[in-house]
Amino acid sequence: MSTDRLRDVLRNSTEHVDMVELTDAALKQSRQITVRRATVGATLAVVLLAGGVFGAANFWPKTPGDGVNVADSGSPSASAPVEPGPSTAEGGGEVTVPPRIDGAFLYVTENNGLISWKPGSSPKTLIADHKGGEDMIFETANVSPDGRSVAYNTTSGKLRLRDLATGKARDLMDVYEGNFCGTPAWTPDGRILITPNTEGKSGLFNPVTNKYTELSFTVNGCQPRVVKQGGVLMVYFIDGSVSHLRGIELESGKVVVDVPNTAGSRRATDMSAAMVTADGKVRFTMRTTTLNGTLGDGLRGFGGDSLFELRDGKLVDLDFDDRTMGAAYQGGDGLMVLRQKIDGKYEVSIWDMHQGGGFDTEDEPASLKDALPLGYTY
Amino acid sequence: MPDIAAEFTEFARTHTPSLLRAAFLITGDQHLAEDLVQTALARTHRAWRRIEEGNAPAYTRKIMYHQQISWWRRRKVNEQLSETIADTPSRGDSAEDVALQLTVRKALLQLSKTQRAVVILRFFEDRDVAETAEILGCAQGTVKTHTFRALGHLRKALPELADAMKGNV
Repeated sequence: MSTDRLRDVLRNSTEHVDMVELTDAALKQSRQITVRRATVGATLAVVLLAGGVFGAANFWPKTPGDGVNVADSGSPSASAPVEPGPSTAEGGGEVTVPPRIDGAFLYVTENNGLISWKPGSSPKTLIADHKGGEDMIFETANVSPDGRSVAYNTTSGKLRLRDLATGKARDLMDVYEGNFCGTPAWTPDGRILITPNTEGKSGLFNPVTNKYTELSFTVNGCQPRVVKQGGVLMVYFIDGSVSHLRGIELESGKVVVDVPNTAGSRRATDMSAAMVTADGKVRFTMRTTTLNGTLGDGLRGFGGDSLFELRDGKLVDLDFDDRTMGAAYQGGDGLMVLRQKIDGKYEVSIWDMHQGGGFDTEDEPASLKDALPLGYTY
Repeated sequence: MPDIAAEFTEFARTHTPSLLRAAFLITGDQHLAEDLVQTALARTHRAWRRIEEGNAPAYTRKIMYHQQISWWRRRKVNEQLSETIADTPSRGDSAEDVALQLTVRKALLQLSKTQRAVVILRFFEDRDVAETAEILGCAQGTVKTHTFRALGHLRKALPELADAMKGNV
């Protein structure tokens, strides 16, 4: 047989394809996307406005509060940051889309800048580039799930919280100097930060009460992620010393997951996000290498190239490769951000792991090409 | 002022057949192929003003391949693989040809999504390595690697085509 034979077989295989007319359907789909965005945007304006009124300044001390404990982070109160749930866009007829579609993509720059970009508008600088200085935004920053604050470490050994609306920053507690590994991680409701102290021991910091509670275990990984799983807060991290993925219950310290950080032929080097889907699946966005590649050090990673899922006590690769991902995990709800390069330009998409599908895709402004996706907030 | 609707309509009607054929090979299913092409066309329409003249076919094709490489579409394909293959009608081919086509399509669907895209671009669309790399947004070396591995899989699945797949990396 010749090469032509292979080509013939492939072509013959398509002879029975029905040549349906798709132009009108494509035009309709294109217009629906536009209508959907406008409708959802209008609905969200109300949601976000309400959130702004009721949820403002939650991270800044107002009155003395209760002591810090895990229960704090798991019981959102009326004053907690707004955590919008799925809703039906009113007046839009067929459209049922969670409101988060209208959120903002967040990017970090190598010079410690932070940028927010909402499709349909120009990128907005939240923190200007400032090379040098104390801030270790590029290495350690994590934006709160509601997008109002960013927590990061400084070279002088402080855990710093900056209000993105006012630019006001305050130091929360001492951490060890040059702590580029122990990135502060938010609980899904955005009320608690998990961070190491000056001795490297892990604990929970409540920015409202300014109280720090040491945990009964140490997070031996650089970029932990907290999710709510079956009503229990879990912290996941890659332990680079043994190349394992660990999952530990915050309150009890019980190690629930301790598995090699490999799936199929891939080994995770770092984890950008952990998430729990509506049906309880635990998924992670990972940057990976080959099994024989350099072992992961669990250091800060932006995006990733693979999506792993915990199944029967091991990790499974969902074959999400060839993608650069940022990720969001607000509420552990399985929402994530993808970024991919097409035709020399980046696109970003919102994906919902509940539905196993994507929402809209947006062309990223060229000015963001050198920035790195950090996540998505709404 | 260009009539975007008219321009796009003409473009879509001209290119839909070739897109559908490729999409069918990619997805292994008529309905998934239609869905894929429709989505690619819709996104092309949205970007129409920004696409340089003459680049629309390449843009749509890129969208289509990149869409397909998305994991969730692949899951759908896998879920529908068994019944899809069995239900596909044939038109006038010999039983041997039909069997071969089904075997080829089944073998294609067992490849990774990127490998499958590479095979279809290289051996169905007759794209060279550089063009394939450009469409998939990867390095030429990556295309060669995927081609090599894909053909290795196909050789095992399709010994009758083994000769045809030598030296085509």
